[in-house]
Amino acid sequence: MAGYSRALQELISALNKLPGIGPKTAQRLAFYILKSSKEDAVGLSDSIVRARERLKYCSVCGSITEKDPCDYCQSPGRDKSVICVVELPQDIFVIEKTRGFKGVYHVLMGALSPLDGVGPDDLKIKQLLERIKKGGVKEIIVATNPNVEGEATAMYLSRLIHPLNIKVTRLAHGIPMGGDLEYADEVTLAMALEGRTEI
Amino acid sequence: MRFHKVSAIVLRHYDFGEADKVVVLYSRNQGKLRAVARGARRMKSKYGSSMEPFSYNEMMLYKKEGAELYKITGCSTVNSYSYLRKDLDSFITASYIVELIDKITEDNEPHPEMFFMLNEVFSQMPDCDRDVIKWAFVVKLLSASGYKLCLDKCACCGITARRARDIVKFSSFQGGVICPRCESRDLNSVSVPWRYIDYLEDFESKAFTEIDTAGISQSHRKGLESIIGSYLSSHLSGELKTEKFIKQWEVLIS
Repeated sequence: MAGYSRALQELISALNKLPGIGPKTAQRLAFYILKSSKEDAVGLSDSIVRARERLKYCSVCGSITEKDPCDYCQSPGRDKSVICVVELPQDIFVIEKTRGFKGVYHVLMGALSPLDGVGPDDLKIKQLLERIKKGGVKEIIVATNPNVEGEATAMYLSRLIHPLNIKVTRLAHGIPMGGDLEYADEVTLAMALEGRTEI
Repeated sequence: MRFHKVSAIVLRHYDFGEADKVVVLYSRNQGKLRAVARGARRMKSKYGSSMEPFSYNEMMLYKKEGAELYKITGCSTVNSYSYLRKDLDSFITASYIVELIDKITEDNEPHPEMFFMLNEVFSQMPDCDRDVIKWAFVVKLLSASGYKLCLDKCACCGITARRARDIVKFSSFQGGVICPRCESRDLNSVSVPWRYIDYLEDFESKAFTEIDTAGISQSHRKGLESIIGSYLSSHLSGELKTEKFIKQWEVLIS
């Protein structure tokens, strides 16, 4: 980045550290920030600092929250006997959008991946077992991603939790709404057939 | 030619950009390749599960001149090997195998034999002893990569190995059995029963389904795991990530 002032270079390299942001995009964003009003730039920087200072992980479920325990864990309206296990905190927001789930959550902070060296000790599995052992849990819904790592995590959790006489369920696999059967791949279609329901 | 039609198995993938994946493929005629699958992380992606590890696909790839990565323009699954994802032990063994292929091969170096071996091992996995299929794959792969074990003669001096005693010295460093006169050339060599050498010969020469696994006792299994693991690590830089996973897994199920 020859020719750029030190402050600009620092801004570009800071943006370049963000996931999915390459050097060119970092440069474009940096120039956009410089072109915007001072209030907008300060507002952006303030909101980053504020979010970093105020937000933390819930000590019970691992979701992102401003107060610990989080609203999901504290709410009396939520069914504490059903725990939905997700890979990342952002998955909670997607499930919440459905307005169809009234249980509580547990964030694993990833999925088992032998190829990346992510084993059971690297995830919040022990914490999940501790929650289960405290009692009152009737069902664990495994809502990990429908990919190789997510499936392996689901199988692993099922093997671990079944002996505790607790129901373990997995999100259904199948054709996405609005999709065309013609374009469905064979694995998805086979799983949709396996998991078909009576109407 | 900019467009390439390849038969390839997906070794692994990693996230790229907003919703894309970079897929590491092992192809029949071009060896290991890296290609971008645009939008593969979206729920309604046209690729579906075909970009998941272990999938065997027929693919159309495009590469711009000077570009590092291929771009996937079409894909049709030949065999998804879906059972490898439905059983945790098979999944772990298959992960070990793809990581090994990924680590031992270089990009764009064709080796059709490895491609066929990979297909064979995935096809036979449900019917075979998983430890044995893993060891046999390692021995076959090392042999195909130029690290063939020397089992019928001394790996140091070349003298024909004699079965005068029940045990023989095995040297990972020298790459096979060593005679009593050459023992001093590897102080880390280990004494193993001749039976182990017979197993290693079977692993190298026989098809996965033809290997007789009935007589392999638990103590033999430990011994074979140890000598094959040590021979493999003498040719690899660093530990396989899957090994770390397997260690954690074994502690949990024991």
